[in-house]
Amino acid sequence: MNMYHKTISLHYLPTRRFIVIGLLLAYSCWGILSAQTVVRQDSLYQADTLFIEKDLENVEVNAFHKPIQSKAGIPIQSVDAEELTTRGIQNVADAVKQFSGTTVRDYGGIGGMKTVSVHSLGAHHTAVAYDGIAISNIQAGQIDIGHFSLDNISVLSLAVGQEENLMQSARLLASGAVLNLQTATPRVSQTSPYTLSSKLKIGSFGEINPAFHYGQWLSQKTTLSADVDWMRADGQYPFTIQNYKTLEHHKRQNSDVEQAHIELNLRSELTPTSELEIKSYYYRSERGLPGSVILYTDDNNERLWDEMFFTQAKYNWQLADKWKGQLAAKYSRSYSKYHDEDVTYADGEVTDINRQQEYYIQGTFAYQPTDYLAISWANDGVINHLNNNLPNGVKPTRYTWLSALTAKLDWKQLVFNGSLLSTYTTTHVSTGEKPADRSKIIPTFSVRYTPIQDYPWNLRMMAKRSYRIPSFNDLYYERIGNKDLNPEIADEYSLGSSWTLTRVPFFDYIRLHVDGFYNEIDDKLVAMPSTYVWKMVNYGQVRVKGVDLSSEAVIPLGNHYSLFLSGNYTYQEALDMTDNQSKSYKNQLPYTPKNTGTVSSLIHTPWADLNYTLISVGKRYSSKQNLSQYRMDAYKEHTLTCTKEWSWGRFPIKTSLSCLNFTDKQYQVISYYPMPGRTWKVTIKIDL
Amino acid sequence: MMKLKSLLINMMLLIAVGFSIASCSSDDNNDLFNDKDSTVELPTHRAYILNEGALGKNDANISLYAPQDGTSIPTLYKKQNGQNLGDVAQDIIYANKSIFVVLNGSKKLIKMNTALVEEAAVTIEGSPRYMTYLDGKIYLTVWGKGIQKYDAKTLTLEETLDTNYATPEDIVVIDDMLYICNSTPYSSTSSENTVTVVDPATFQITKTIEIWANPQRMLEMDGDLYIASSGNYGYIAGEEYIPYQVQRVHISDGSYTIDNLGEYSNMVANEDDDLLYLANSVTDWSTYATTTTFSKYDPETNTVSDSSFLTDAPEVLNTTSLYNMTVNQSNGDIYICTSDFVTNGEIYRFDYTGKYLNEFDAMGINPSHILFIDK
Repeated sequence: MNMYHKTISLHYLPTRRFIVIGLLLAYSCWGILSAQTVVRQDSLYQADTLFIEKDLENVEVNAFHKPIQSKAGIPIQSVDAEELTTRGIQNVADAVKQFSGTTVRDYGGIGGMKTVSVHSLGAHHTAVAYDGIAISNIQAGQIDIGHFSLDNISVLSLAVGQEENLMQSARLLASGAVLNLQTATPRVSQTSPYTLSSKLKIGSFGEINPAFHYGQWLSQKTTLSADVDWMRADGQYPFTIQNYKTLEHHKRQNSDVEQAHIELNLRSELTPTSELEIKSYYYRSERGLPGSVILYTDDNNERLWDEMFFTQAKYNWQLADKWKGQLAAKYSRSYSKYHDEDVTYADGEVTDINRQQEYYIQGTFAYQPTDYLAISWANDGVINHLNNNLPNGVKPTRYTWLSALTAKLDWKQLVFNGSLLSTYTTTHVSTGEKPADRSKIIPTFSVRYTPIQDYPWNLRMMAKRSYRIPSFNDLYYERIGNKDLNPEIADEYSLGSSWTLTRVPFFDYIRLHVDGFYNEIDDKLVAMPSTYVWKMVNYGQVRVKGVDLSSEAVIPLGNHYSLFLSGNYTYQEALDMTDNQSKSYKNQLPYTPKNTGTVSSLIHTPWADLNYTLISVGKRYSSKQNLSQYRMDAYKEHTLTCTKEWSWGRFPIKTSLSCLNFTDKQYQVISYYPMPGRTWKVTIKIDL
Repeated sequence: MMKLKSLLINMMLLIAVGFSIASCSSDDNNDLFNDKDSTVELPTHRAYILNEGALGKNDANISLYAPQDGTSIPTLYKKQNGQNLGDVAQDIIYANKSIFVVLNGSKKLIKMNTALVEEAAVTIEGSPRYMTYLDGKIYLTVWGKGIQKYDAKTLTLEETLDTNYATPEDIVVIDDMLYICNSTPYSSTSSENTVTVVDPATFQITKTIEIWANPQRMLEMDGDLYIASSGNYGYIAGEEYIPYQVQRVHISDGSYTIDNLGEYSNMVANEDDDLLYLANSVTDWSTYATTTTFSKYDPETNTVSDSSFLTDAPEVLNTTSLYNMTVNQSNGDIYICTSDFVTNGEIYRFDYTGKYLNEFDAMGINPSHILFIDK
């Protein structure tokens, strides 16, 4: 029952859902109805794959489809549920850290905030989508990926730049990178109308994490599923801090977290050419915020409560041979309460409450007039509202309309993809002056060239403009907010190539990717100090250049053994070019290592799977000025995971044991936010 | 007794922020220095730069600049003691051959000798702010607590006086009385605008003076009190916008009358010339341009002159927010610090006539005080 045995041939496709997903992702180019039946078998990516590869039979297939797709116009990296387990990946951030080109800001521990920046664009340029629909936090502008559970995720993928996906929403098109969390659908079973699986994870530092998944077939074409998970941890891990010549030993305090997540999904194939998905999601958590370690004192009382609810519906259909449509709607609301007790507050304590609401509608229509040309038009309307208990809160309501026209031309060995995105934003405030309306037109263009027909080698280039609309905090937060801010524009350029080698001695295959990138930001939103007040301003200038290298290979070792190797390396130089008089001019951005790399090797045996992962991060600086006193040393984190499947009667059981950071390396991602040392996790999953 | 006291006062004089009474008496360096256990050789003319550091980064430091030859020793405290100073340095004073530093983030009061070798340290409950020295005691303002009296030798907490203000800020001594200004607490719904007067003999409040909104820093010159207040930044709901203001409170004549000197963000006393140097930095948020203007106030005539006290300031000072201005009272040299809060500060040095001498790196983030131990 191991995926690494299901390699190479297409036979497994119809039964192995995740391979299909990978395939569809991999070859989500165009082509059309002949593949329609394949698409139907898995609704997951149906919306994202209007134009499926014409001839799937010619496509080279193997189980390791996902990490990066050779035929995609841009690199899409992904990891599926099975890999998440076999590689001992515990949360979304851990998975993203293993993708190339990413920098995760991890404030440490299970409850610590985790945001992801791609190619040094900043976390605000990374959109996070849940089943293809954007999640927003218009107040902070960036998403804490630590909030999401991996328990019901089937594929986690990261697309940098613009996907060749005509059904993409305008909102996701506007961002520099898209991290998508795709949830699982219940499996088809001939014998039972329902599936039930339960999972229990127990880990170091008081972590307990039970999860349940229930799936019910309501009819031949309709499934209902429910996921419930709960997690708590006291998070009091030991750590060391170097206080110049003294090594201090401490335990992280006020680092507890408790969170629960409930999700309901209804998926129905209404007709052979249309499909409806409805999802409701609820999450709540309470956590301590340990803050940065302050020398000589340990006194932090900050706590945070979060709640998020959303419900979304997505409807896809196909009309005749040439038309395809997608309609989606979403309502979401979130609540966060921050509480701190400290003598610096007027009443000795402060409680900040923020409530956000969002109404979102989305529609994309695609038309393919000829074999080689397809166009699509996506429209997104969003209403965001923020209400808080601050005395000067202006209760902003923002109306955003995004419209994107995309064309794709598939001509011989060339694929062109271009889009024009227009955005319009208007904001109303309950008191004070209303900020000016903002509108922008954003172009994107990509080309993919296959030099030798039907040979898995391609060259690609992309030029994309993405924008970050100022968050409500940027605009209105007490004192620092500046309502005159413009959106921050980031220009991304990349040039790359993918190559798959299949006739190499001792290897099943070797796949290589190389992508050079160059990014420019000229109006980066930064906080600018003045005598007593800081304000957000469009001021920063950043230039990023770098290269992503990635490779993977499978080595068969006899009948029941195989070795899967993969490695990523990113070099990036992200320089502050704002002010040539500044002491940080041409210095590397803080918390941005020039060198990062990951290596993963998985040995499959008939008894168990054994995986080793190494994450290596080069030196970084915690300050804009790259002085030695702010240098943070390079570190390597090693993780070992052993996974075994067996059965108890007729019930399949999967167990895994992970030892994360087994060398007990003491390191920090963010200065004075120590990361956990050696951590154990045991997981047992049973399908009933 | 009187002699000892005046000696102590003379030493306090040398502290940057500028306390009163002129004239240095002794050429004997042993009256100034106690460099016991120093691991490095130190000059006899010293400017100790207190760099606040960035919040949460434990990178506060004290670095040494030798005005005589322009040499410097970065992070001297760390080198002398083998450990970091801590998080967010708030205040530094010199008294009786000792240097006292208070750390707001690390909540610590440290006593060290003049070579920065630590002699005693104590953890503070609450949020410590500013301090002053009088008659063998350290008086420390502590948010959430009030005024605390520590024995200057042992750093033993002797007494706490709750002045009923949440955020007592700067503290100065005038004529053996303590003057404490009360700033506006974070998340307050109205501005605070008082100075509390405490008699150290009884450790009781004797008077409350109403002044401008949100006082931050104070100094004493010629027996009068000068206060720099920040106003309300326009951020307190229900209050009109209140700008910065520098005020003079007439203490020496017993009238407690108040003069508004105008809208200034920084002030420092030149005690030898009996002048108050003023600066105002204003940032235009539509162009992001900052303009800094320099003025001086003559207490004798009670007039502000808009001509700068600097004769040839580098242009960058006219377009940068100032972080701190300090006068070395022993020779009149003027030090002006700038900071962008993320990179090391820069310090511009002028002689007593306002002539530009040189500039140097502050060796840390947010240079907020310069303490001169200089004969």
